[in-house]
Amino acid sequence: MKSLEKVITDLLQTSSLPEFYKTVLINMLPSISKLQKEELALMLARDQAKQSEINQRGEEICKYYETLAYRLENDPNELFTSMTREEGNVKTSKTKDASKASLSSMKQKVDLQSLKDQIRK
Amino acid sequence: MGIETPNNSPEQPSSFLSGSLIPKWLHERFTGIWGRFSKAFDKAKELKDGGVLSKIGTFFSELFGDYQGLTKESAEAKEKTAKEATEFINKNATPDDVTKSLKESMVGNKQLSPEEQTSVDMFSRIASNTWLNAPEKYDVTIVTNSLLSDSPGVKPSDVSLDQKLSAAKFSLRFSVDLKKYCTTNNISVDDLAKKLDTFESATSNGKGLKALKLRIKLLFNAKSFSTSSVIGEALSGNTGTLMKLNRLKSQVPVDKIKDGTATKSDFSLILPNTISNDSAATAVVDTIKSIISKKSVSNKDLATLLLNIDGRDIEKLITFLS
Repeated sequence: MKSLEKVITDLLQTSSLPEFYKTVLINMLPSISKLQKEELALMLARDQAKQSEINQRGEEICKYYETLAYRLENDPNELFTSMTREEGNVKTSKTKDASKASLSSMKQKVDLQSLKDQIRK
Repeated sequence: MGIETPNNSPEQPSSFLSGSLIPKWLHERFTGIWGRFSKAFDKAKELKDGGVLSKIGTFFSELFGDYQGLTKESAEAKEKTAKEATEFINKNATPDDVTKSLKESMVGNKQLSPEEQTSVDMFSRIASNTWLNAPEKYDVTIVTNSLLSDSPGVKPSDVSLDQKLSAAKFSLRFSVDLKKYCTTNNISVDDLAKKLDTFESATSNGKGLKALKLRIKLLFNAKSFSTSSVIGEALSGNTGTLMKLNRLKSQVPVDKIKDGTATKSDFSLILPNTISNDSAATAVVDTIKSIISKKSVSNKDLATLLLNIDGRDIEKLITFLS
């Protein structure tokens, strides 16, 4: 099992924080209490979960538009005929993406809870 | 019947081009899609198919809306984390943690001579004490910009007014702490100038010092008290404080300061305590005149100003900015 310090340094590597914050936080590690380390680990894990949720949503948005671009490049008339026919499908696709993002957000919350349980053991 | 075609394919908005708020790979995918839509638009334009063009126009606008939503959310999330980290650092960091981090950031892996090491230790220690012990709680971004940035100030578009004021207050309070340290440890103007020289050679790029010297030069040049000076920079946008500054400016013979003909009494309004001490007043006024005529600031000039300007005058400026 990873030590709490290792968890923090790993989280810091992928964190959205500017470099100088990371340097200060790494240098603080030897002198702060276990409770403060837990607080820091949770803060960084929340940041990571949020960033990956945003990235995943971005991925889904891109996939949606890439499909449209592909269809436009192949046969725009087909795309617009089918869009008129299946106007709802475009909306359904976006709704589906939103549901996927929401599911992924729930999964990240569960992961965060596991991390909390892990570091409090 | 002719088909009315929209004009050209829309250009990528500038916020789309900067792309610093989301990961590079994601930004590249968005710009890639924009390019593909643009090609499809041009093709549809050749075919003069107004219906298709109008639909692609809708795609562009939806794509940009989604991109903006995503970058806004990402920026807010980053800001929230940085705020939490700032609070955590201000609450739990020791001066040793901050000193070590400043040294690492300023020097990197460079091997230092004993003299350089002493200077870096001294300036880093004073800066970390200023950061952690001042009544104001500084944002880490502000300390980073004030000490490690190679520009004289933070870009107005990058920071809030509070941050700009905080940057100015941090620089002023750091100079008070540096003066106190030098007085306690009997460090003369020549000693401090030498320490500044070794600090400059030790820090791989001398960024913090370069920024400080540039600020001082700006403070006493033709743009004195303008938006380019350290104070003006901090005040831009703050109408109330700007009015106070304008009142002060109207009472200070700015033109005489600018053309180098100012005498000690001309500085009495902005530096009353310094001017009441004759030897300090002579040193400060001569140095300001020298900076104006040379259009540059040496480490000796900096040391003379830091050690001769009365700390109470600087405190007054900090209060003025608060």
